[in-house]
Amino acid sequence: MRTFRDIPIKQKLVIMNMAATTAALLLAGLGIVLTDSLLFRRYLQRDLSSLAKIIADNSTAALTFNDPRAAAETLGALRARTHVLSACIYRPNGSILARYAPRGSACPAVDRRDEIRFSREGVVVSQGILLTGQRVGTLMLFYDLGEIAERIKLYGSTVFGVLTASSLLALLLSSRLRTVIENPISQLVRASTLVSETGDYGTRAEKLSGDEMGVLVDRFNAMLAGIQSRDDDLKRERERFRFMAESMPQKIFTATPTGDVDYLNRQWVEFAGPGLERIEDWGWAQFVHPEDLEENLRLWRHSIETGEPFHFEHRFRRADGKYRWHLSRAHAMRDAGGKISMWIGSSTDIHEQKEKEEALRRANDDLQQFAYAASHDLQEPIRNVAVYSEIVSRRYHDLLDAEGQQFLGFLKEGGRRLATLVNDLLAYTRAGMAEIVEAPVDSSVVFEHTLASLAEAIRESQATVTCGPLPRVYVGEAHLQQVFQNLIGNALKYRNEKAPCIHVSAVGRGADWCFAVEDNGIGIDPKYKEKIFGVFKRLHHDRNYSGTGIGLAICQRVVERYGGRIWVESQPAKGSTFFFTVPRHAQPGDPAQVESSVG
Amino acid sequence: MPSRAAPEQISEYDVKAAFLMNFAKFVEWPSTAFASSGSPIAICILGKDPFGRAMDDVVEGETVNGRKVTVQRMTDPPAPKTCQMVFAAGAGKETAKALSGLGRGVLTVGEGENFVRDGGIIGFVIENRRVRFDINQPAAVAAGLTLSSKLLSVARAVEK
Amino acid sequence: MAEDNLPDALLVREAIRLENLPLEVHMAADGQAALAFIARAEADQDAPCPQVLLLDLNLPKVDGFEVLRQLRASHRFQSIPVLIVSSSDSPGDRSQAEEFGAGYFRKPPSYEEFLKLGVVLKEMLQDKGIL
Repeated sequence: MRTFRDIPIKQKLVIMNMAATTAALLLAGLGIVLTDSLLFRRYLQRDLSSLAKIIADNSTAALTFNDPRAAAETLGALRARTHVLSACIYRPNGSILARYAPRGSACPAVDRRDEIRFSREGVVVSQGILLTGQRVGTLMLFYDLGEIAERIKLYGSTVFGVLTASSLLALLLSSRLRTVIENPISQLVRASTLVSETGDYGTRAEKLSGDEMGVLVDRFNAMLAGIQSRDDDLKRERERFRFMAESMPQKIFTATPTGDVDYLNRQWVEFAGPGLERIEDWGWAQFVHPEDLEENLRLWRHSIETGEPFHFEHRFRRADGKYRWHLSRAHAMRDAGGKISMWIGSSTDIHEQKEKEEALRRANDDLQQFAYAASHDLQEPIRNVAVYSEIVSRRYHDLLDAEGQQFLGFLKEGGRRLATLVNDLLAYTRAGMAEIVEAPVDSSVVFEHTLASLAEAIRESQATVTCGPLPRVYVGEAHLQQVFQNLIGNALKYRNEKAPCIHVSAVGRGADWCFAVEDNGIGIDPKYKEKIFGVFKRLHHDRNYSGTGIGLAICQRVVERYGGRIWVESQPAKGSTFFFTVPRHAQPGDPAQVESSVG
Repeated sequence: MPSRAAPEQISEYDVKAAFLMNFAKFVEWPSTAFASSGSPIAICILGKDPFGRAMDDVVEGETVNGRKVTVQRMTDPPAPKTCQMVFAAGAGKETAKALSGLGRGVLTVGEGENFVRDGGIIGFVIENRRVRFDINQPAAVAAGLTLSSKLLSVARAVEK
Repeated sequence: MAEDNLPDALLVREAIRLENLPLEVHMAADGQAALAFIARAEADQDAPCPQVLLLDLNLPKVDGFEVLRQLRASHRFQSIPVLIVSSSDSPGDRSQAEEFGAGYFRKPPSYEEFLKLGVVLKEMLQDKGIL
């Protein structure tokens, strides 16, 4: 069933118009009738009162001289008043002197009070008849109220007539409403329907009037113009993006917030061959090298879930079936509310670079292996030279002349230095070979081992070496010991006349542990802060401080191997503090970690 | 109150007494008809008095237009300004003539149909055993009296 | 003693001599020879049976740890004291030696230091109740 809400506006207006008109007319009619009834009553009251007074006055003589005929004549004057039902003149003793009753109505009972009484049947007027101030009789008048009903009927029919006429007029006007209200609205409805169906924001509604409807149409059109211009901007932006994407050497793609790839630039076609729909959505997965796929999917899903940038190196299959290394990156684009609206990404062919890197890495590894093996194998002959030149010098000293002894001294010293150098070189190359650390290592245990191996030097220098609480770390035990040993060893070595005081501590800082090795030694001039970590950099060519100067380079190599860094803060003559960081957590799947063991 | 107005069964002269009293209420006398502004309206009974006490009872306590109403009995026609109404019982021609000679300011009332014809102003008649009266309007005018139209309307006959 | 490097072997002998250790030194010049010596002793009760093995790691033919592994697998020598005498300073080698219950002495590039081998060996034998 159609309710009022659903009928067309035109009909609503007609109905509302007519309802208002009817209500107004009815109210006005009712008001008029009520007022008129009231006024008419008052008028009737006055009218009947004066009528009664006149009759009464005219009846004085008839009463005084007891003349019913004259009285009847006087009453007969009421003939002109058709609504008089009866009129009677009573003598003072209550008997009737004269009666007028054109329709045979009875006389109202005599009432000695002067009054006008309205009742259902009509109006009863009682009027005393006075002569020179004396009551000589009573006039009773009975008046019918049919007049009021007649008047109401008259008004009612007038109102009804006006109502009918105004309804007809409203109906006639409603056709005018079409041009005033309905047509402008129809214009708006037509225009908005056209826009929503065709998406053409160039559509405009026609303005038919200068009133509010006209303003509405203007605003609507202005709104459409605004949307049109934004739509154009959007199209331009899209074209610009497309042009940029198409003209890039990289492979560009976009994806929905759920990770479905929905755009790919021309470079993808050139690479993967025609038929981009094969790559769209998640189709790209079949172009990824099977070895890279699992990790690739894991990382992509992780990015989609967390919104974190995607970054991965993987191999894509070219149209000719050959895989090429690509570096793929994708970033989430967010709307004003921070919600991901799309992903935009690129894949760069890094195949040549990757191959070069690989070759370089292999060469580096080979070199490293060579350096390790060489230094290892060199130890024996060098030791033989060093030890036996010493033995010769001890046992056959007397057989040599001064020059021979000097030469043997050179040989001995050279052998000794060579042995130290090779030893340090070995340590340095070993530092570059990270071990896979499966379980965390208790660094306080490593600290104890270090003290044990440095026991003699500590005793000699009468040093105090202490430590605070030390954490468990994902660093190879041997590597950590190398670092501790070098740093503590340096602190013992570069001491002043005071007994060395060395303290090792560690604090958590972000994702890292930061270790500190503090001493009260000779300190380091700030200008050498960086230099000291270089290979074979010795600041002290003093006999007091022996060594090859490779210790800190080894430390740096170890620390950096694990993704940390090492630095020093120092005040010359007061002491130095060496800091190094290592990650708190295991570094998963570092392909550079190589197990190495040489007998 | 005119509760003493004569009912049908009471005597003719009781009615006539009441009528006389009531005539005073429907007639206007010129001021010259009175000796002074405070003078009463005097109803004079000339000759034979047929009322007995009735006339005195009727005027007892009555005032008309601020003037008291009194009753006087006399045998001779009154002097001017002493009587405003003169009633002569018994309808004789000579009586009527004598009364009309009383001049201005006197309402003359007599009995019989001939009274008004003979120059009297109001004449009582008996019709259907009811007391009624005729009026001689020119005589009233000549006497300087104004008779209320109401009075005229209840008269049996009015001479013009 | 399994040692392929004669200068080192001489130094080891000297270190033993200087500490006056009552040891007769039998030499094996490579891993194979060392294994053969052990096999002979295993098979023949009269063959010389070592009380202690001084083992270089970097041996020709069969390396030191393989010799050690087979030794520990044998019946007679599974628990004899072994002292590894090596140029290697590799922590891996040290920890592996420890796993086999062997002592470790790194050959130092100094005569005096090298001679400390005698002290180390003596302490080890005393610990094991052989001396």
